[in-house]
Amino acid sequence: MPSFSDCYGCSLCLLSCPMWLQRRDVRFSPQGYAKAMQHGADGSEMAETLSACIQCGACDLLCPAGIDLTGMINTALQQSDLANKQHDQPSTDWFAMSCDPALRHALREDDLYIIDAVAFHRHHARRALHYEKLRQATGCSMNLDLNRMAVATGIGSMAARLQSFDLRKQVEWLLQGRNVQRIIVENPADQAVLIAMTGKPVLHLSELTGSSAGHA
Amino acid sequence: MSVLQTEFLPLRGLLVTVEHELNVSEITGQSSLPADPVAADALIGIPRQQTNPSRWQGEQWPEFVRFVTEQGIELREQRVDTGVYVTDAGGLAYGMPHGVVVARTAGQIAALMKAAQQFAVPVTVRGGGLTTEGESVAFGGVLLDMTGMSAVLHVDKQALRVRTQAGIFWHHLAEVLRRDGLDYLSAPLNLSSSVGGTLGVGGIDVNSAKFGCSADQAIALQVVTPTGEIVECSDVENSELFERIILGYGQFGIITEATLPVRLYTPLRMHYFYYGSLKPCVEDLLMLDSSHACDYTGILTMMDTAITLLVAFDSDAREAAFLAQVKPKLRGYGELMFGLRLALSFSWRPWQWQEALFLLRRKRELFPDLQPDLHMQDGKMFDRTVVFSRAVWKHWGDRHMVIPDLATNRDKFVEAVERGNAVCRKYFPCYTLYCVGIRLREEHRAHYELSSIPADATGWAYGCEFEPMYNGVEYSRDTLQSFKNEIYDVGVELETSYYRFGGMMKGYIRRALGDAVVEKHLKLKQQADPAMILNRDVIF
Repeated sequence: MPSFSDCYGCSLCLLSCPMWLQRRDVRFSPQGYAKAMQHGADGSEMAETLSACIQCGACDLLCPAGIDLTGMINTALQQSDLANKQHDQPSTDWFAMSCDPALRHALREDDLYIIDAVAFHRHHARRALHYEKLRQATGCSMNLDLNRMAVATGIGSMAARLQSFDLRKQVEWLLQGRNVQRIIVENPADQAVLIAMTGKPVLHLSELTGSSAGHA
Repeated sequence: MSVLQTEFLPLRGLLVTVEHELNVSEITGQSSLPADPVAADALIGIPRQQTNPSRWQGEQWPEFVRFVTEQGIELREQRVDTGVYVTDAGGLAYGMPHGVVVARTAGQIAALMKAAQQFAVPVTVRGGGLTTEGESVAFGGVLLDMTGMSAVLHVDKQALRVRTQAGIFWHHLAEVLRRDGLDYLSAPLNLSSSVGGTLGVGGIDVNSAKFGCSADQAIALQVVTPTGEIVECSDVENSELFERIILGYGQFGIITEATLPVRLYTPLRMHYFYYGSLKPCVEDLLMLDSSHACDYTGILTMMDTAITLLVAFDSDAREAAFLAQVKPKLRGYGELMFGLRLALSFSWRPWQWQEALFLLRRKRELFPDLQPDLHMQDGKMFDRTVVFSRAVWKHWGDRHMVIPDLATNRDKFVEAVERGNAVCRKYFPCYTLYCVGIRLREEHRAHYELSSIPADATGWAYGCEFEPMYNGVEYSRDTLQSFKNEIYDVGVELETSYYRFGGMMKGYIRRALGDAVVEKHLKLKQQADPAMILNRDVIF
């Protein structure tokens, strides 16, 4: 398995990295971590920059060298004093509910559907086409960038708790240029913050499918 | 030692040292180095396989650091920070800056440049770092990382213009524009190229035959000069500076903001035609461009006997007109017919079956990446730059992005492609050629003078990139550099040029452009940059 030493600095991981997009500083990117490690840094020396990562997993899919960047970041976190502030447990996987035919009928063109980024990236090969078809069928917009990676909200992440990730900036970017009347979220953790920040109706997926939240 | 050498060396304060070295070499006659035919101001006595500049030794560095720090400029000197920038996409040149500054404002850069002039500290500017000859590698001094200035400042939907900070990657510019249903005109098929870096060197796309290179599209720029002035320039405002900055290899200023034209976003209707040899394919490309029948054209080879001509359109109407009027004139085949012809050809040449297997494998690996499901809808491709760029990095990228190139006028193009192809064949079992036309703007001819656009090209210039495929084989740096040099040698012999991101090696500048042009620009450089500190050793 390729490791940090195989990073040759193509910068592709920066393109969908929410942390880099906010900071515009290569130190705050998987490439920056890998390059620092190539020059002798360990997790403890990168604590400040590591704390800003929301671990959405988009970088893993973009790395042409196939480096397990999330694994690399986790290893570095173990070495840092952030290790005891471990990252979130994997949240419930809402994918099955997104396959409910009722969702196709309920989604509207002026909806913004927010895919749970972590689960999406973890299973990208199997799920990306499903969401693309859902988007085409309903005309709704989704939190997908040009790379077809999910733009993560960052809400509920360790970085947000440490106040090293600017949620407001991220939500502003999510909404920029979109004519959205409703927001549909997969991860309930996104709901309260989005309601407070956007003033739009923010519904959980289960409210459209008629399922109970525990159904997933 | 030539007259030119003695004229140049005092500028660097190296006269005594180098004369001494030459004398020792001449006296002992023991040098094993080959005769050095490169430019007079290249590194004397060093073969072209080793063209990295010498490292700046750090004179006055502590004083400089104290001075800029007092002005509130953050200068990072830790190895973990400077090491990020140790090489470029080419991966053949390695160097460490003394310190790194992440660009934040034009004012900050202006203060940095004033201090750099005062203390004679070299400043190397880096955007995406996609140079191939070490142009964005700092061999000491300051590395200025422009990606810190990468915000889109204003999108004018009515005038179809965007004002952006120049450190932005084209990919992020596209991300922002797409929210308004817009797109840039053309940009390199590499997502992590920066706008500023591209405007300084060219930038080609499969629609460059229609729109010209990216650099030719800039409407206006904000520039920080080597002496630290912040200047707005365009064809009508400070036009002389504009001329020098566009395609100027970063010698005359740092682009901090750019105004660019944009257009309504459209997906692509793509068609591929297949050829069994290079010449008819190149000739058809030239014919297509002059017919103005296509919105996108380019050649991509898989091997010498399997060459692809790509054509694409922004609208159904353009596509229909092409299919009715121009397609019958093409000598290429569709995929099925070409496959049958190739199979027939291979069937009675068993010694070529390995090539056939390679082609089949290549088709299986590459084609899905050129038409990925996530980017295709109703036969149209969405976000072509994402598709092509990811394919480039996956299939041709590696620790060494070795992509030498040639740029010629229409008449020389077939010969340039065929000769470059022969060089590829000599060095690598597998390689790809990527060819496109570049529409020229007569009113911008002054911009082209120092650039990779050949002086004898009118209407269009044509570029061909020669891209080895490593297939897991490790090639030495010497092999890769020698390959590049041999391609450049073809350019010198054909009296033509090279294009792409910084593909102009210092050692070739005088051979490619001639003394008169280089002397003229050197004098301009000395006036603009008295301490000769901005992006030194790239050209001068």
